[in-house]
Amino acid sequence: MHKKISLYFFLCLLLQTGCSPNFVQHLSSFEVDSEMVNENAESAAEIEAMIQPYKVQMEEEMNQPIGSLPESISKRRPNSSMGNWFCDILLDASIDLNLFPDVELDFALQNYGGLRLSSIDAGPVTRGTIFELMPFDNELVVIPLTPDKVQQLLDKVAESNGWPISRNLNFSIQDQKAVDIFVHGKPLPAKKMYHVVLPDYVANGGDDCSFLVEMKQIGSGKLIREIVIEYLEKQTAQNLVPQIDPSKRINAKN
Amino acid sequence: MKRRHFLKNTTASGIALMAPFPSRLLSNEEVTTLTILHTNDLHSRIEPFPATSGRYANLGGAARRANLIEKIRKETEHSILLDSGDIFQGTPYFNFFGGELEVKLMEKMQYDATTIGNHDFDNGLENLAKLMGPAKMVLVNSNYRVEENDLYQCTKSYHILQRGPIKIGLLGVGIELEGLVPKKLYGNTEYRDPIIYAQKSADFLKEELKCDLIICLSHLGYQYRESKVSDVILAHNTRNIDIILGGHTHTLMDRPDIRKNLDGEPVIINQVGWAGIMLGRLDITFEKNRPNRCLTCKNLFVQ
Repeated sequence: MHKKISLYFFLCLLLQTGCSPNFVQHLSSFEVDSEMVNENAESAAEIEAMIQPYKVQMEEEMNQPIGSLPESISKRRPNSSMGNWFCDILLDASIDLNLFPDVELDFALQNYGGLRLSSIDAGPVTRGTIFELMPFDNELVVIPLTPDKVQQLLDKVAESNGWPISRNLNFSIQDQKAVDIFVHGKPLPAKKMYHVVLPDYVANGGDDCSFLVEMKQIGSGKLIREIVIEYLEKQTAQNLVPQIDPSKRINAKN
Repeated sequence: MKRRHFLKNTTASGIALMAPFPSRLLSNEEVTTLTILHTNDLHSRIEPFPATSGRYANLGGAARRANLIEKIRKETEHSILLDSGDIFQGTPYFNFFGGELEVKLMEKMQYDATTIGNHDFDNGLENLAKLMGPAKMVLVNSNYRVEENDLYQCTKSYHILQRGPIKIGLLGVGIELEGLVPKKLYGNTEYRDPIIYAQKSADFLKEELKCDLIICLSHLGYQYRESKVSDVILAHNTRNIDIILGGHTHTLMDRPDIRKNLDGEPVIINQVGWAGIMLGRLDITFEKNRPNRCLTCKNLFVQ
């Protein structure tokens, strides 16, 4: 009996000191678990029924193949197969679709966070793939930049540990700065003005690029997503399979 | 690393201590348990990730989440369902239907509240207001000034939920919009210091409305290398907030982070990745007429 009382008292003491008021300090347990869900349950069926009409309408358009990839691509910093592929499309499509007829384009650049798929498998690419990759309603624009501004933009890219860039541009990252910058194989500065293809989101100061806001913008009047789809469809119609350039365009020195 | 070790140790002893108490010392009438279920950054992921999505393959999906929520609701006495913003953007469902289906499904699952994520502006603030206006789910944000736009009609700086004897106070905080969201989308929504405005709402909920538990729905992000305001900074620099349910950084936490607030009291921070791959679950046990509270956490992958 005595033993029981003292145990009771001990537990009470623990409860009081252990739980109050810092309630998470003692009586806490944490675990992570997976839950296999029975998809035939009623609530799931109701949700599926709500989704169905939307899905049918959307998939009709989204499942259309518009091209294919010869190999799987993925997104990484500072370089990646997906980044190279995407930025080359931005540059090539700008030229091929004659989006900016009055300027000679130097290179294209895409903010890392703007690409929303981490990988795409080899095989058919659908409209849906491109919608998921680039869901934002960003317009493709060109901004003319002086060598100083190119340096500033690439310093921002370096500070972010690299963004996707197109062919024609190579540089290194050292101490979070862009060094050894080459455009068309020529070190910066080789000319007074460079023409850079990029999303209007970045040109309008997005992703902490406020220094670009004052720059002149040449609009394409088209969404990046629509440009990519149009270009891939055109390539496919001509039986051209996109080449994935594996080269390291950004060299991380440290 | 050390922190994890510490938490693991408390886990072991926690389970050992947890077991005997409610059954031996406290009858069911003496304790009440509130189950908090939560998501963040759903990003229009209506269907599970396809099998070709690498590490996310086959995870998530609204139907499965609904099922899981229903199952937990049946097993528990008191529950609430919350979200921390970025409901929109990420699949063609959003491009096609502008967020209509996302909100409809959350309404069907009976979400109690969400907050404003940066991507919830992606179809313009008017679109967000149009969808959230008629919704039962409450949009809680304490730090955006929306007095002069459409969001004013559907945004609350705090909200109360009552579950049994437990009065739960909700507040919400959103991230700096300038440089992140195109100006034309957020219009004249004005970002104000989340620490100041979270504190205002928390003090009101605690001192005036006498809430038993105060939860902050945050879209600030868990933690940054730079000094940018985050859930961790918010936790350290405020008082009266018990739990921060986070978002924006898509942080997949297998257990909550516990930080000390201005008064040295613990603040629980939890965030469950993104796209509905995980459902967050925190169970808080309250002792009746006493301040004692205990926590268990079981974040669940939805698969």
